[in-house]
Amino acid sequence: MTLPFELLRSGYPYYMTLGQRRVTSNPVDIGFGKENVYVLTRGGLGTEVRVINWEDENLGTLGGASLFQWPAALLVDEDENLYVTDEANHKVVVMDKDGELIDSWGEQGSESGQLNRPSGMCFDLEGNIVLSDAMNGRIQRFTRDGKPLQVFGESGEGEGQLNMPWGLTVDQFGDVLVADWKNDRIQRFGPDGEFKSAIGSHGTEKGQFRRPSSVAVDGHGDIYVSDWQNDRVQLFNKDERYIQSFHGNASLSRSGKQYILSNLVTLRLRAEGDFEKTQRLNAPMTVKVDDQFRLFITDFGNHRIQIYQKDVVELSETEIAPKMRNPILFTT
Amino acid sequence: MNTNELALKAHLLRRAGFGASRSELESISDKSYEEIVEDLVHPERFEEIDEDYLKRYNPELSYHDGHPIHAGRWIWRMINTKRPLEEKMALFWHHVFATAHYKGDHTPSTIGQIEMFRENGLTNIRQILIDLSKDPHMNYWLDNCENHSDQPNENWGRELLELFSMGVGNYSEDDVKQAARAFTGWTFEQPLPLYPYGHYESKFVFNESDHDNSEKTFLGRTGNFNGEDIIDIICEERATALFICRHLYNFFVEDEPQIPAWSIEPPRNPEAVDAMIDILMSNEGELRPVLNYMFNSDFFKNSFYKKVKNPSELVAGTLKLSGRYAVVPAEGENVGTLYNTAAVMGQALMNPPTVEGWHTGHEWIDGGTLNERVNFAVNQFNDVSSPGFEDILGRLGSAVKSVDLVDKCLDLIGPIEVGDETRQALSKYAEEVGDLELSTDEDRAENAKKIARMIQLIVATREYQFA
Repeated sequence: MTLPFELLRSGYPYYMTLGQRRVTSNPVDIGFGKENVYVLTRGGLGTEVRVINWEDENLGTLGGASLFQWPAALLVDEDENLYVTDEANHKVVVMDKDGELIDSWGEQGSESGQLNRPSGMCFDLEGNIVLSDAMNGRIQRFTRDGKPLQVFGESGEGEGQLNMPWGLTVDQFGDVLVADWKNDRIQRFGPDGEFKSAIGSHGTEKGQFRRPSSVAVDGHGDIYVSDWQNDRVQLFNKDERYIQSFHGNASLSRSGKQYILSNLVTLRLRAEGDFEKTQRLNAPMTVKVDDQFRLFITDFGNHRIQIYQKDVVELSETEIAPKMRNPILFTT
Repeated sequence: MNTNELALKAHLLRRAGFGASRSELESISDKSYEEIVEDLVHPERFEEIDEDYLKRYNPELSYHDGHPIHAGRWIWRMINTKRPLEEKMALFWHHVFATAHYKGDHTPSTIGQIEMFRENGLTNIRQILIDLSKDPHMNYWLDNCENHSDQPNENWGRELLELFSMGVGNYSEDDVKQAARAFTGWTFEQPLPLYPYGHYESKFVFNESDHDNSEKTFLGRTGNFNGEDIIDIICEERATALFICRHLYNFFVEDEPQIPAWSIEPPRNPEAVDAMIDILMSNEGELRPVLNYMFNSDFFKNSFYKKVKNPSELVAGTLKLSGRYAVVPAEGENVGTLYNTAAVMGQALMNPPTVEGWHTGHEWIDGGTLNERVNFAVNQFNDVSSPGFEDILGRLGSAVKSVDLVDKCLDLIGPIEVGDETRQALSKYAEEVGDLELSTDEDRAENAKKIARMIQLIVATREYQFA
């Protein structure tokens, strides 16, 4: 796997919004089937998997309180089975696309293979499951049926140590990038669990985080971080240099538009209000990217999914001037 | 006066806060009573509470969609804050300026008002009344958004005088009309609709074109008054200081008659209230001096068990003892349930029954609410693995004699004092269980339940219902 040498970043225009309150209420994660979109929700307005399609139609729910209590992450495999971490019951629950329970594994503890509040979860390059074992301050790798394969990391603040890790992802080289939540940084580990690098520190400036909850890497090696308490998503390039932030540009989803158009008072209230507020992110919990370079943000506090579409030109080494040692003011 | 220093500090923290576990009392053992009072009235000396874990495990707190979870968060703050008087003053002002969620059903405004009380609750009467007058939740609750220059609405002007500052009998009907005119045009920005993406905040707006700019005569003063001028005049009145100090006395010192009786019933302790009024007025409405005086006074130090705990105090104080609802939520723990816990005892936080607020004192207790109060407190000690009970058990050492069990348990969950009749009942149980060994894991496993039962009996007593 090679990455483009450099990118001409044309822009990152807003693509579309999915969902609305009482449908995709309090979304914490998102997964994709062949035709449907699965939105994991958690909170007072519903704790379940909501199924919608790309036309933003509500197709019902799966799971719920009988299967999980504090769901934190969702994975969808090639057979469209759904894997959900349950922080309250220290388990991974597996159901098919009809919501039937087909497997459940994990037990509370701190021994290898045991879990204490499993949160973020992703597939590795072999299709195994890598997850954040949050209260044990470590990362564990399992087969899909729950056999432990690897454990790395420990609680702490030093390099390679973790404090309540949350979301994580595996990039195209097998590196594991972890949202080291309470340490306000992203840490990169090699496939064998060795510490490689860290991004960020506590704060509100560019490149700083307030409790990052999720991380994703796209096919260009660009790194996306949901900066949960700063209500934004930050983008870093493959060299871990800050590029830009996303604060939210939501338009109305199809279902949202239908709702408003059928309610005269709601129409009036929206006409009277401050429109800019309606676009911004509120506690974005998860960030994901697909192979079409679409960026999906679960806009938790606004009950919707915000989607952006990357627009870049991939450049080879010969298509761009070499890196400069010094900055120049002559920029013509 | 009770001279037991530990008991006095525990009394202070029950009143100025929500009680204290033994370890919390120990953590301030090197401070004098007076130093603790100073700390209480200066909450900024202590770190703001870390809500990260709470929001991670109760994520719906990130949006403003339904007030119960936020009311529960408030109780969680009462339990865990290092700034107890900050939360207590927020609760105090919520009692005085009772504003209910059910009318506006707009959660950002509901919780915004409580945040406002948290921020300004220890400042100055004038500042608090001005902030209150600009608060969208209050504005909508008392219809000032309908108070137009050509069509005044007197609701806010009337309640400002009657229930929020001076009290009945200290102003005329015409003063109400003049105050209403002064507040015309004080309204709020139209918030965006709930659907499709949830609530958005509102904020105060002064609509000058809707304000009555003509001359008004209010409480004998004449001028082209705006709302802030009305509040300035109100704050000059001794009746306002009396009203506020009587509220403070009722809330922090001793149960008073309820507000409707204040125009005919004198304060229980007129000398104490007079002294508080003088301090409040001589400090131009600043609250810290009067609170400092009150907590250090003999009348306060002698007021043990002269107040029925309000439900929030009972719930937060008991959970501090049991160690549940800590900074890091336990598995499945949802703070929203705390709203209902207090509500079934008669105090639905953020939803007081009327603009008059809750009736306090013995009115907290009836057949239903007493049952809820006792059952709740007892149930917190069903689980002998709760952190609070384990702490109590650890402090009892390797054994406890039957004759010591009552005193030791009363000491560790207070210290609290009980009457002879209660003591006899507790002693009878202690005799039944006999001497208890706690030196081995087996001993502790066998006897923990017996000790938990003693704690349950204590929190079920009449005395535990009082602060």
